[in-house]
Amino acid sequence: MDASDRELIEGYRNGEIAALEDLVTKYRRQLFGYILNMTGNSSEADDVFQEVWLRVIRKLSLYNEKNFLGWLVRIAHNIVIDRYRRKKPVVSLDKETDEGQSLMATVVAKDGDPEKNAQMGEVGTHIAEAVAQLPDDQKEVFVMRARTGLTFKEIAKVQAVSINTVLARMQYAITKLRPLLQEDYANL
Amino acid sequence: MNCSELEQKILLASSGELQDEELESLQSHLAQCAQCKAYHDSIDALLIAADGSLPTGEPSAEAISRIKEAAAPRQKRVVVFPRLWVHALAYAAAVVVLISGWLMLPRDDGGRGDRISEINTIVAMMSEENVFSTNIKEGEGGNEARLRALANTLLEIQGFTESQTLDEEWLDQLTEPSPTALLEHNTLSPLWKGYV
Repeated sequence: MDASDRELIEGYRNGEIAALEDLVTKYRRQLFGYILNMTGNSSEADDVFQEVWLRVIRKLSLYNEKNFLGWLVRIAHNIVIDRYRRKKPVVSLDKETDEGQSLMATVVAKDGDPEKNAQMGEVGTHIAEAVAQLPDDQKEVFVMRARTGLTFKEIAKVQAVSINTVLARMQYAITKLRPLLQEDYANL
Repeated sequence: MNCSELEQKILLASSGELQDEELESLQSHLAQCAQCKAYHDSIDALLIAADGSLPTGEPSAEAISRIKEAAAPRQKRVVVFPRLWVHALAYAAAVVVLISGWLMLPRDDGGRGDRISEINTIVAMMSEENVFSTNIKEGEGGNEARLRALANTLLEIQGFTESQTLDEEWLDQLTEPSPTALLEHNTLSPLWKGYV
């Protein structure tokens, strides 16, 4: 475990509230980014993000794993799975707006980093749309690698499958993404 | 090992999970194989592009606020005031019980001398004045003198002045006190006269 994570966790266990706030801030972007891509909905992502930390607060006294972010993502994964099972209404990013544009494109334009989007242009939009079209398990592996930087070993732990299965899912994802970006890939 | 089989090793290399020996072997192959080299380069490029283009955002301020609220420990109410009173009452009750029990203990000489000391103690606790400074010490002048001093003290508490002291005749009456006798001697406390 990251030494600073260990210190922050111990700090919170000793009653330092600020230590937990530091952890929330440290992993905010990665965790929320993963959740948003899996739910496709900012409001639902907000709920899941909050629920993740409420569970962390309840269970932190028992935590003894090596990778704190991996634990966060695993909790988020389980919450998202539970919500899908309960069939909570989630707006699909594939749904088209009145202007004929997919919501993914809208979300990307709205939530993406403006400076990066300007540089990436259509390439970025195509990538985001292509990822949204992937099957959930492949999309999740790709998003976890891209958004959280988790290793394949940690991703396997999150999805509760073997590392070979995770690698296979990533291979399928790359195979589907590369042709979609054939023209754009030349510009990457 | 063909290029398809090497794809998984390329993925592991991109995440830093390949062992040193395997990484070295892979890098040797990449130097010679354009197809694998292209695959290796595309992985990095896609991940970089995705990081910049996939939906991103921030949790709401309300969510952060609720998390902070849940993280704060509940403050336990510490009620001090009633506990202090309970302790004070307990100590006072213990003192009263001890004194009462002490007074009830039998004495060899009838306990008169000791009783005088005991009553002095109680009076000292009740009175704001340090009555021991005016009392005749034990053994000095005998119990009669001590009894006189004690009685004077009690009268002072009742509001009598120092001029209204006890004389021998009055003291004798104390051994067999009767309200009438006290009234005749005119030393009965005005406060008590209504009760005679």
